[in-house]
Amino acid sequence: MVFIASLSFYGFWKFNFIPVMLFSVILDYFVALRLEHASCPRKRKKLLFISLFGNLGLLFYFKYLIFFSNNAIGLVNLMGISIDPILFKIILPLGISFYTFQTISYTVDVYRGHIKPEKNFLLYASYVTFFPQLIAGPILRAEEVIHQLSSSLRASSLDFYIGFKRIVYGLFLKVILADNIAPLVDVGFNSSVSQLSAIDVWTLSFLFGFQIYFDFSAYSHIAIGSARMMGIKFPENFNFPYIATSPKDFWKRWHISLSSWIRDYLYLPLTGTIVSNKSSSLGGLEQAVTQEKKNKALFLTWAIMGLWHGASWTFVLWGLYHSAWIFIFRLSNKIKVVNIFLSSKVRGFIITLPIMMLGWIPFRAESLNVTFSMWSKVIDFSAYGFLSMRENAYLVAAMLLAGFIVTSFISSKSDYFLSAQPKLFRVLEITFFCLIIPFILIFLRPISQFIYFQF
Amino acid sequence: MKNIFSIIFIIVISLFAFNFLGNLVAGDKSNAQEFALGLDNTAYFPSDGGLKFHCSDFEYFPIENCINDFSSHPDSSKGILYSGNSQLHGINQPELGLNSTSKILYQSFKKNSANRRLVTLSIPNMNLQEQLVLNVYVATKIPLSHLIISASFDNTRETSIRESILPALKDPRVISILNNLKFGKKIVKTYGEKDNAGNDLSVEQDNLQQRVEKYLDLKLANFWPAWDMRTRLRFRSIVETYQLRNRIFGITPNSIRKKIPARYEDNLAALIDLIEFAKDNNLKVIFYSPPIRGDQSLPYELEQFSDYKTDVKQIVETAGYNFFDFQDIVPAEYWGFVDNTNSNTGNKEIDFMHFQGKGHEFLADELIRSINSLNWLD
Repeated sequence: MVFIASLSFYGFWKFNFIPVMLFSVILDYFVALRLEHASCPRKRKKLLFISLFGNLGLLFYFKYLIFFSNNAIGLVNLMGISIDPILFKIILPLGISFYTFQTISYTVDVYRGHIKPEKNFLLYASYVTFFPQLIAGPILRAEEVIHQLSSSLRASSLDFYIGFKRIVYGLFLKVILADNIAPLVDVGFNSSVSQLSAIDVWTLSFLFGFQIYFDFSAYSHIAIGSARMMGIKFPENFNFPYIATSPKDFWKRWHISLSSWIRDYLYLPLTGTIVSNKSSSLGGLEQAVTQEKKNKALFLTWAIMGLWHGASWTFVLWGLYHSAWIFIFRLSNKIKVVNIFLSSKVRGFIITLPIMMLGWIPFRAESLNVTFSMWSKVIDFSAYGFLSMRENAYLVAAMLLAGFIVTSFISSKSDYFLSAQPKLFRVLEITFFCLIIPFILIFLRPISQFIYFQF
Repeated sequence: MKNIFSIIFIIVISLFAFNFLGNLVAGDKSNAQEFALGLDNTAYFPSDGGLKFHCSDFEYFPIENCINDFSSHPDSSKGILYSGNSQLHGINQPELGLNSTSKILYQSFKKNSANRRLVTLSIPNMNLQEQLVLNVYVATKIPLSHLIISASFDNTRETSIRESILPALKDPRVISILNNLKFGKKIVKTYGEKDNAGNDLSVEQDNLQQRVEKYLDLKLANFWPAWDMRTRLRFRSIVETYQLRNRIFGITPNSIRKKIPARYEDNLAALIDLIEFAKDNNLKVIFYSPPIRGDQSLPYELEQFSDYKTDVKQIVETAGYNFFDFQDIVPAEYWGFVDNTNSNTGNKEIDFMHFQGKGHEFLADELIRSINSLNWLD
């Protein structure tokens, strides 16, 4: 039933791409079953390769073929041989980056012996295609979800209430906040960089940082809420990322399911860590890793993580930017003076937050050239003397920042408040939802699209 | 049970509140453009015996109506396109007389130049980038011979092409013309339809999901009045937020509106393109800086306002066209008031942009006098 509902949900967008998704589902179902019976390491590796080749091949064709072809042609042109860029169109199937990662993680987990392959095809297929998270995550692990799907879906009234709240809250973030910040961001990023001041660049990076946070976390809230209303618990995907005290901490709070996926299936293998059965003495992680290997893996992982977000050099730069800052913070942690003089909160708000916000520029800018021009404004003191945007943009950015700090503070106290004054908490909660739903209905427009749908 | 009751309670109260808000705006002006003008102004889009000659964008008083009616007119051979902001259609205190510059000019041209017909396009806060797009669009649809461009210093603070104008950028001829212009190329790149290869949003156009959403939207609007009021509710929410901002920061119509350098430069670049387009197509151009209320201190930094007029004058005159400064031609008594910008107390404030019907007569007379003095229509 869940599987049919998920296929209908996907077909509602575009029916033609269901076979592409089913290819990935079926491939990994059979590969995993074969892996269970294969004891020869060479054969196991071969099976794993088939899964990786199939899934990454799909991703490569739909997402990266044009990008790599045009880059190759560009290189050839640089050598003096003139070839026209490729003009064919390939439509990217919705959610392909997410469901291929799920099927890969499933097969790798079976390969590592972390999980047993699921023999019930419908159950396994329901896990991959489960509609609340199919388009933009969270990226689920088989061990988190399949056992929940295997029992009959039965939501308690509490599940239903929590799910309802998460969906409404997600709609609030998307419809009221993200969609109304978007025009300010669009106008700013459509301006010529030469006309922007340094303050404009800061403002735009904060505005877009909030827009993408509200937009993407909204989808996660709705996905988590929808699943919860069916009695399925998803892992959290966001945890107030902008109060992070370091870039590494940021990535433990932002798109958590992707960060942990990348760590487990890309970063650790690249460092040379042998990730075996969880029951091992090192909890699944074996072999000491050299610092040099860790550093190389860090940069490579992040470049790939950037490319996962989009077939463009700006995304690669975005990934490298984050890896560079994680690397710098890694080094600075060794310097005791830095830690003594700067408390973690100060490091968070004064250092990490601005760094993370500036990191959104390559994510939103249309080219490397624009990105570097905008970044160079920030370090050009002569560019701080004027303003190029409407006053509202600065005002909204300041209000969002203040609102975010207040909300994260309240949220940190909510558990205490909930246990101390549960009735009052309930009344306040109900009042909040009664107030925001009318505004969600007012501002709900069919044109708005989630940013992460394009990845 | 407590949880289910909470959900039902939240839904019922929310829908009740939504309906209440819908009823609250039921008496508001029916669209955002009229609402923006405030209670003391009305949007006046005159027609000639049912033939429309004054339009706005692609949604409100659609441009297509003016284009079709121009083409169906038996004796029109060439068009004079008059474009500007809401000053062209906003009539302050309409009870004192409903007249507009556009109407007077139309009648004058009809009477004195049998083969010329006026087409007017006006949109609130229309910036020069939008004027460029719309002038080019109309020029591809009807044979134009003359352009009258009204552009206020206020509107150089605006940028981007609004959604209700974007259909113009779907026309291949408009895109082709704009692509041959320096700033026009940037407009196409930024606002034109993107090549969405490799982007899954490219199939978003008219898919099953969108069709169902549109269908549901229409059906809901049919039987649920509050749903049908959502556009007005959205606009009212924005206005309330705007008033709150003004109240907090003490912003009034007299507050100084400073030049925003980046936007200013983009708008002037668009004007240069518009003038170049006119020259390439042998169109005659009159550009004027519109009237502004003179008995009050201006809401601009005077040097910036003066520089604006110097800059546009130079652009227009360098191309051999005429620039007019109509700053003081409408006497103070023919201007009016507008709803208070920062509260709902009912107090009125100065309206610097829109004047009464009589003020429109002053502007029209001045334009006709200028046109005649130049033998512009010959």
